[in-house]
Amino acid sequence: MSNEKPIVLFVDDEPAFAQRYVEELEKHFQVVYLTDAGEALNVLVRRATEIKALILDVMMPTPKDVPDSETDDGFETGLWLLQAFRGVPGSRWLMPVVILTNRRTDLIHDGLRRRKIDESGVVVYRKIDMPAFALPRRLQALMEAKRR
Amino acid sequence: MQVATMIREISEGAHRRGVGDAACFEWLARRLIEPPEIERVRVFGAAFTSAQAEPAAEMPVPMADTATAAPPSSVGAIRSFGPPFAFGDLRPCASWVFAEADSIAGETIPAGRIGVLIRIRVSYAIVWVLLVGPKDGALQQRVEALSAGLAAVVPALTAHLNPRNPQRLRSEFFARLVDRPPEPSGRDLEPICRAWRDVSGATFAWLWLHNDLTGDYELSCAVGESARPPLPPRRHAPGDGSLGRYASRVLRPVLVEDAATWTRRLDGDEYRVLMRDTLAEMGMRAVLCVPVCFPGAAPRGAGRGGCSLVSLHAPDSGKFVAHDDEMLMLMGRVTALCIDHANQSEQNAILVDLNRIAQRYLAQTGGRPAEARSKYLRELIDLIRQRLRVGAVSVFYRTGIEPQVECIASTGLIDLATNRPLPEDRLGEARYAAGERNTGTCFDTSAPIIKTHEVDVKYREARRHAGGQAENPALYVPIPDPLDEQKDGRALGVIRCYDHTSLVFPDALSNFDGQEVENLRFIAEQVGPVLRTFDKRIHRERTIGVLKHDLYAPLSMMRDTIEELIADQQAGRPPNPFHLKDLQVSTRVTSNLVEQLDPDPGAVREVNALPTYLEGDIVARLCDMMGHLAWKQKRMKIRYDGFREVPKLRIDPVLVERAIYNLLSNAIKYGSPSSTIEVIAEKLENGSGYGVHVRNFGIGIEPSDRPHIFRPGFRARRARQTAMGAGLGLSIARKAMQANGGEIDVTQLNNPTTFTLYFPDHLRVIG
Repeated sequence: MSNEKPIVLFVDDEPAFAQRYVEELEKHFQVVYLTDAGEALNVLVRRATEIKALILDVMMPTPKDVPDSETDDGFETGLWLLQAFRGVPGSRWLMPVVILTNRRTDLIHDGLRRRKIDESGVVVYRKIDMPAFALPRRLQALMEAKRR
Repeated sequence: MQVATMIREISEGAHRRGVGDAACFEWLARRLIEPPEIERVRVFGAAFTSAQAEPAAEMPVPMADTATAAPPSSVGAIRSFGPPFAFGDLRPCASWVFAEADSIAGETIPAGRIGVLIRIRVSYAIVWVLLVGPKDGALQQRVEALSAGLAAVVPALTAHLNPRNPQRLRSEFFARLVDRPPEPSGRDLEPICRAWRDVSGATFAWLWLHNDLTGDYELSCAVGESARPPLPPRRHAPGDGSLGRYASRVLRPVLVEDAATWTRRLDGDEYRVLMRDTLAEMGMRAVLCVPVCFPGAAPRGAGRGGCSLVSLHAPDSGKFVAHDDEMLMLMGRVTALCIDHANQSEQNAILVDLNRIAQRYLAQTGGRPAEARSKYLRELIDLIRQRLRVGAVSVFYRTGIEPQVECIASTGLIDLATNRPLPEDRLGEARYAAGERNTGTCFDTSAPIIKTHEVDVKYREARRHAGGQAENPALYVPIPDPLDEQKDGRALGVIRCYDHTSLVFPDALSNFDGQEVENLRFIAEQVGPVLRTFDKRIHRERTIGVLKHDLYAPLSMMRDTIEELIADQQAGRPPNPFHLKDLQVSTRVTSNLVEQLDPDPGAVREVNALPTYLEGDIVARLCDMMGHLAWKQKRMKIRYDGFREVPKLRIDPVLVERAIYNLLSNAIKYGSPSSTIEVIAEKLENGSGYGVHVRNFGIGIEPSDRPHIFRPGFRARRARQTAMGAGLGLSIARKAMQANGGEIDVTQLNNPTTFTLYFPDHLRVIG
């Protein structure tokens, strides 16, 4: 095992406002930052074992070739991505998932239940409650818990 | 079997014998048996009232059965034909259904036999005829002809049954036919009747109205002075039905075919029909009878509509004076009165139901409005199916997001590309296609259209059993668009229906009669405002969701930037100019979003015009600030090409800044990464004012979207796939510019997409 930083996939459609999080994460991780949920799903499926953690925004534009109804008109694109990825066998054991959103957390939990997404290994934080400097530490704790 | 012959035989036979329903149906059943195709016939009937359309609890009563040895002689014997079957088993169903080696309507079909159940609806009742025959295909081949024949015969049969005559055989079937809609009262009709008499120069005038229930003409009003008509020696009050009994005895009921002929004569200005033979019995020497056919009343059985008669009596025919125009005018008045009356009673009942469901779901303040709307639509569709006796219903509505009428609820749509039903959450992909024998609502869209057609599951099953293709004839009811209130003449939505008979008989355009189309139009008028209210709520919920989401992003950034600045200060470092710029941008973005947190998110405040340097105060400063955001967001640059002579204009700097900010923000959102946004400010060559052009290379604008881009809430498909948003930016920009006396427009759609802001010269501050 090399000393390379673990790879984290960060999906958010607002690069300007996600930048501060990315900067902080890069101090501890290799960050793959993507703005398109469809592209993120491809990367996630192809490189599932390499990615050690997934950070997801929820409200994002609906990817091309996906009906708007699947993502609730973009209001649940992040959940659509997670649902699609969780369809891959064994995926739920692979990595912790941090949902980092500005939507109300109860709405996110409702969405997870509605989409029948297993909530084990999934945590939901609001961006406004999660300063950029605190995110890497929280993520490390989650990855540690997952290893155990 | 010739249908016309059959009708004549039945009607004449029934009259001659003076018998009623049971014998008629027995006669019908025996007449239908034609070995070897049909071995057994059973007839069932069920009645319902107009206020209580097709109640689930209603049980069809057996009326006749060819398997029994002797014809029934009493109600008791009729009832002994067999156990009634549950109405629910058959509703909703197409006009005919097949069953093989199974049971149909409680009747077990023996092996090797096939059963066909044909359903005929008359004005207040439903009659089912079950035919059983060998499974050799002969019955299948004839079923359409039989179904059509029965659909014509049964109404004619029931038209001869007078439920009020105790001498005739009665069954529960007709005993239930008591709750009729009220007729126009004698008081309403009397002035018309009087006018008729005076206009025609007669001494006596009668008004006969068609009774939908019995098929007879009933005397509804009589006006006379000197001569008394030979009424029976008892008192008759207008509208109590007693005159009707008398009338039905003396005036031969007129079959629908005759009424249709009369209508044609009426068109040809030959509306006088002398019925000397019939009325000679009454001792009248001259009678003028005028048929009044309700406009739009299709000759669909002896159902509602029908026609009315006016008879005028004079001692000698020479006294009649022809006043054609006045007569026609009076006929129109009676017609309108009758239609109003029939409509009112039915439409009032519909209105009560519509209000009930609208209130139930509009009153729901908790939960999501989209869910409340879909529940509302489900009940609405049930209501339409019940009231109009239709098979398939689809509701299309123009949502604010895209300029097309999308399906928002349906009993079922088949995607012709895959031949599979569209799932409920993808109904919106079925868009309203123009020019395909549709409802008359012209809707123009260049968006791809999924070819769909409505389905009736029972119909498809029936076709499959019959060995035919389950191809659905695409027939539409011609309904003028009820919701066309938009200025641009486009529809907001439309309700599209098929009735069962048009599914079965593809040749007929539609079997809806005038009243049903009228009721559908009435429903659509009531539903329009309710759907608009739901639409507003859904749009507001969505806008607030997007704004709230967007607000948190700059707030989080401000929080983190402040942390950095504090750290810089504690370490004794000078503040990083990059961080300061972040703060500047974040506050600008925040204030723009907060402006939209309004009950009407697309509104702009009142203008407060001040002398303002357009360049230094607004455009140049915004370009510099937004350049920072563009770089962070997509590594884009903003190039600013300023005025040669700097104008000072009397404008509201906040509103104009908001307009330009929205344009730049869109240019960043929808521009290609690493491209350059150009902002060019210039004095217009013709001297009419100043222009600021914002150009970017990116996703561009579809020509078909061009008329809609300034509409609040509109977001083009490609825009939705590129970035989140509420679809308010351009509409706010336009409102802000117009409030200042300027204008904004798109001057080039693609590569580069160019928006131009115009400031007219009169805004310039001199000196």
